[in-house]
Amino acid sequence: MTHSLMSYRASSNTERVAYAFLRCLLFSSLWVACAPSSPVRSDCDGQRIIVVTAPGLDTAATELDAVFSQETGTPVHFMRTLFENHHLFCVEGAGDESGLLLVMEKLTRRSDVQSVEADRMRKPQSRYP
Amino acid sequence: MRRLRNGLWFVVAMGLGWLDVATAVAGSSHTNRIIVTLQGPSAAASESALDARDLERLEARAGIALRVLRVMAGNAQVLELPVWLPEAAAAAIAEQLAGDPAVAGAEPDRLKQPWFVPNDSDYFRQWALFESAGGLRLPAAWDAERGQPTVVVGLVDSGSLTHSDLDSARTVPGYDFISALAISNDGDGRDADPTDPGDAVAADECGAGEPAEDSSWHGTQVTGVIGAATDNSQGIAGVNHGSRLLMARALGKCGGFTSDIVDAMRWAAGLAVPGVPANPNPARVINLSFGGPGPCSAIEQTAVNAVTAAGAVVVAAAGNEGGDVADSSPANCANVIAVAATTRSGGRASFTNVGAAIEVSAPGGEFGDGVLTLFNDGLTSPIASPAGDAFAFVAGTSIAAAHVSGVAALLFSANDQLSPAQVADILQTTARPFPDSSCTTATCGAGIVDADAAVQSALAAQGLASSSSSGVDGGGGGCTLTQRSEPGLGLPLMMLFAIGNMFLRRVCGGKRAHLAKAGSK
Repeated sequence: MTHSLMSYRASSNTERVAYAFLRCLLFSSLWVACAPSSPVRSDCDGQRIIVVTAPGLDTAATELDAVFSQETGTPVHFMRTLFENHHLFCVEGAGDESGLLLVMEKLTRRSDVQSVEADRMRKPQSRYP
Repeated sequence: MRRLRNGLWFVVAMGLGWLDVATAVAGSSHTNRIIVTLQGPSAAASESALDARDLERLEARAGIALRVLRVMAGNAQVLELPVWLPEAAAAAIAEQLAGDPAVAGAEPDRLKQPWFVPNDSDYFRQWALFESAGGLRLPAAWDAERGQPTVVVGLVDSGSLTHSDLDSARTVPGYDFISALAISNDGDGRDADPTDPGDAVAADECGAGEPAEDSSWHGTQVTGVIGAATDNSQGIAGVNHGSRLLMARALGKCGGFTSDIVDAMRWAAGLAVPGVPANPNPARVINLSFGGPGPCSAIEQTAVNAVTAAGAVVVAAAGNEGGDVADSSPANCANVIAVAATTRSGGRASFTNVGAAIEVSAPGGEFGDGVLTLFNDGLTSPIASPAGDAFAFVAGTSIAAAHVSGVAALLFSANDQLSPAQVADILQTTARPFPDSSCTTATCGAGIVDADAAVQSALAAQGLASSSSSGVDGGGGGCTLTQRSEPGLGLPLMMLFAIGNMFLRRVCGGKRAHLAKAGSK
């Protein structure tokens, strides 16, 4: 018989308390790992976007990764907060530029998102004559 | 009577501080000579010195003893005064003399000094700094302002290197904002070390079809243009000789992400960036010698507005695509000084973006006529100084922007009360006209930056501009010299000048050096 932690039915109060503690510990660990308030994530295997969230949105209390991933149908990971309500996300598996635009459009339609823009590359402007 | 009059002048001059010969020599704002050009019978005899009767008449008119020092060509004679006087006072005496029927004209024999010419061994190659056709007119500007250490120039760029022609004492602690390991090329993400490890890339590394490139040492190039060690008998001169330099590294292999650039800009201006220690040396000038296609994005404009509100002026390269700057950010952002590049002859550089969004132009070089700046001999990784120290001729709107950033720092040095908007306004209103039709005000901004005129304007905005004639208007806390000459006032007018001289010393304090320099023009 296999049980997940979620579905396991403890037979005694002691076990119930113990498994409740374990569940709590596990969820806490997952939250710390996934929440937008997690440490800066420096690398991105996909494309980077800058999301301006609605004022007052508590990104620390919202699982934006999961919500955004579900919304766009592709993995979206929080990277870091730039300032105020400007946040950097990594989009994986969006494909080419048109795919990324589609992801950005979907996110822009959300009521808790003000705007989305690609994190564009900028290059030095000198040459060697 | 003559002895009494001279004695009176001597006492007045001593008491009021006119006999400041040291100041006269250093600042060339004083003189003890007047050049008089004669007319009529006196002119006919002017190959010899004025006779005693003519001289006595002129003394009576001037209210001061005069001595013929020597005869000049062109019916002119040099008359010596018994005391050194401010040029304004000497000009008033000259005006009195000019009223004599035998005198065609009279003027103070001003002490002239050569403009500041750095002794850097390769200065003569730096046409962008001094040549009349395409240069910035910096030598004259340097006479008034060479850069104050209280002003910090922030460079958002590829990082810094040690170089024997950079003064490490002028560098303030920077930061490395590159978060992606593939771009940072230094084995880590963000940290307090903004050293440039190189940005060399292999073919296709920055995208299919992108060529292999050696490291650019772009941050070092731009740093050298703005603030290379100057008057140190080696290498090149910078635009600014005293302001401090702050490197916020955000460009690496293949360029830099907007997200890192925006953080670097905000940090350079002294604004908070999550996870990064505060910058204790906020920049008044932020140089952005980079760009890319597309409109100014919301986050770019927000960042520009924030750093401008914090008191920093943002200078951006127009871009090297030879197209419309409207499609090149961050130069197309509002509240940015977008700089197009001009050539050695002052014409439009072939590569520069142009358009209505350009504020001003500045030397950016051209193929065959680049701008000399600092470099490193390393092809991929830097070669340590001094073995790797090098110089290179480069071109681009990066260089044009760097020139303007250096001048902007001179303006803040001359007048630290200026706002970013005032700096932009001064740069534009004092810019000199384009020498040919390849650039117009519709394409290349207001003109080519004129550092001398801009610095004088910055000083004038503080009330320190002086003129070549006479008069003092000192009201409130300012100290403004204006041209005013009232004929016939004689000694009372001299007294007024003397009081003015004291007033200026008291009110203007350390800025008097500016005043003296400005007055010498």
